[in-house]
Amino acid sequence: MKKLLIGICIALLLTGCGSKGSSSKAGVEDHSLSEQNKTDAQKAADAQSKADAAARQAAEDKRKQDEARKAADQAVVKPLPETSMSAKPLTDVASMLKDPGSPLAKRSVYYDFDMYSIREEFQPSIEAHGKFLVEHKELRVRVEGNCDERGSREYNLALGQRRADSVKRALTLLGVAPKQIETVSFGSEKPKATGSNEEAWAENRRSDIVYIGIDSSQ
Amino acid sequence: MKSSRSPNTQPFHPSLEPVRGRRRALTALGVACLSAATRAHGQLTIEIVGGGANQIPITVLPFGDEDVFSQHISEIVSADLNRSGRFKLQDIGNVRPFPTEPTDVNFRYWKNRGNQTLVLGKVLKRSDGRAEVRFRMIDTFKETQLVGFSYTVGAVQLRAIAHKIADLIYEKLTGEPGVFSTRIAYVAKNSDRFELQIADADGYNSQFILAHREPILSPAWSPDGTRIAYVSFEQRRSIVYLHNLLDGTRSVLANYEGSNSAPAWMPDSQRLGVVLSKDGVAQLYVIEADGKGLQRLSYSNAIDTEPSFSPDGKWVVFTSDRGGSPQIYRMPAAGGGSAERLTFEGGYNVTPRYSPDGKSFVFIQRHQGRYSLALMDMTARQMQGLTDGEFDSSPTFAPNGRLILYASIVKGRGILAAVSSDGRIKQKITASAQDVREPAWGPLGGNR
Repeated sequence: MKKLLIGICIALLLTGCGSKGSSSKAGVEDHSLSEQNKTDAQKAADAQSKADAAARQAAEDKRKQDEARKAADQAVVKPLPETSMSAKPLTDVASMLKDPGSPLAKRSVYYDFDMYSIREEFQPSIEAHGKFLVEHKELRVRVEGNCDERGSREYNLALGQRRADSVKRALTLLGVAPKQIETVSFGSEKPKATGSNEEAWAENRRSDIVYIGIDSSQ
Repeated sequence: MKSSRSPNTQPFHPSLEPVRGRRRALTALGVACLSAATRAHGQLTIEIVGGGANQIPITVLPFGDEDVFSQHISEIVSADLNRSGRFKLQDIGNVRPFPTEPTDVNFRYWKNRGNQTLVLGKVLKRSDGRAEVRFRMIDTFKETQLVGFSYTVGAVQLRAIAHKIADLIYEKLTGEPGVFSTRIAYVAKNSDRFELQIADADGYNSQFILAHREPILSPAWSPDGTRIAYVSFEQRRSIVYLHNLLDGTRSVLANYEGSNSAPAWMPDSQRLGVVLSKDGVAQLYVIEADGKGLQRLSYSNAIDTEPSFSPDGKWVVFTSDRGGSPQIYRMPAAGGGSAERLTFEGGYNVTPRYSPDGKSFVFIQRHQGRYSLALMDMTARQMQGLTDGEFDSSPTFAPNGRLILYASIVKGRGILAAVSSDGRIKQKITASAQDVREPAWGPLGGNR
């Protein structure tokens, strides 16, 4: 699609150059008609200088055309200028999110069994993400709720949704726009830690804040 | 399809009342499924762990010429009867050749050995390659025939005919319908691939109807046996789909914002209960099978999930944590009215499933850190523990209410298991090289 657009731009650019060339030729003819009463010598000298001017003009036109072509060629070689424009701020955001010293580096909230309330210890991390999302309204996150393997898969699916939604609610209370946050529950279907022990279960009772476009492609 | 592919069956005892309706439907569904599905890898193996009391003695003799075909009728019938836990298979005696017709039977010999109920028959290979299976059940004490049929079928239908014979024997001797011709659905996980599989009730002929890398859960058969609803994460979030077993097509049943899950059919096969979180927390809704007419059923500020409708369609039991912990409640299926709490023992009671007669429901209870099956009588409100597993889940009743299939975990691996509704008979069902979970027992007959 973008290649096609560039192609059309080049075509328009070339057509523009062509019409400019023909109108300058018409100008030369008009000029000669208005100076009919000049002497032959003057006429000859004028004609010579006119020819020189025309040649210069032609050379100038060719140079401009070449420049335009070159510019067009460069546009093809250097594709998608908007990517290079937005790449810089995104890199900054990503590096801020990945700075291990930043509270933003913590993206997970852990829960007690069958609970969905956010424990006190995760409040600073939630507040950091809330502030960050308010400052970067272009960013979107997906909160993914998970449960440990025990009990009913269906009940866990509902519980995981509640966990994700409770993080969303906490973020919106901090001023984050609801449209910046989507939620999903994986219930106990996508355990991060395998094994049937308290350590694995504790790791799997979790909500993850996933920055879309930074942590995941979608 | 129904008439052209159905086995040709005819009673050869004039006074005998054939089982109407279910006979013709026997293989129609199986044939449809084969065309719409792909064979799954890994057969289920069923191992009987416990035995029942008051078993009915029965003698199943080898059928004449049954080894002409690869599927041996008498072996399949014996395995079915044995697996039910309700029969005691007796020694087959020393008479050779085995009698295959009532006129061959030495009644005195069998009477003296105490073999009162005798199953015998033969298989005739017809010139067109089809098989005629003749079977009779005889009371050697009264010297009368209890039941007798002849079936003419293609070789691929011999297993189905054997299950049909086992069903007839079961019904004649127990007074309840047999479930040997029914099928089960379950989810199998092979490394990182999930398959929704369907198999015969004895674990044979497993095929998958859906396979991908994202989790699948909560398969639910329509009461008419033509469709299966399930939850799939193939779009990276839970969406409820309907799979039509007759033509292999499928449709989206519920795809709203948030979670879509826990499909449960209403008895009319026209509507389903589903659980949606679109209005906040997970709540019960009713939706028509074509995805239209969505109506909210429960209104609470807590999780309401896992609906199961009573067979008369009047009630719905479900799991809710409205009281602070997940417990089982009941409310009118038409909506309105208040929900009544049904479980009070323990802090975690989930996954209620109505019995086919509506008199009880099975559920999962947590007791001393273990998750196991329990049964609650609706009238007496008495609770009875059925299993002692550590991670039992997803109970599903056989359509005659006698057995309950469920998922369990043994040595870190998902298996299916079954327990009789009195808790006496136990079966363990394993699949080769895969994890199995989320069983759903299909209805009787089906495809009517």
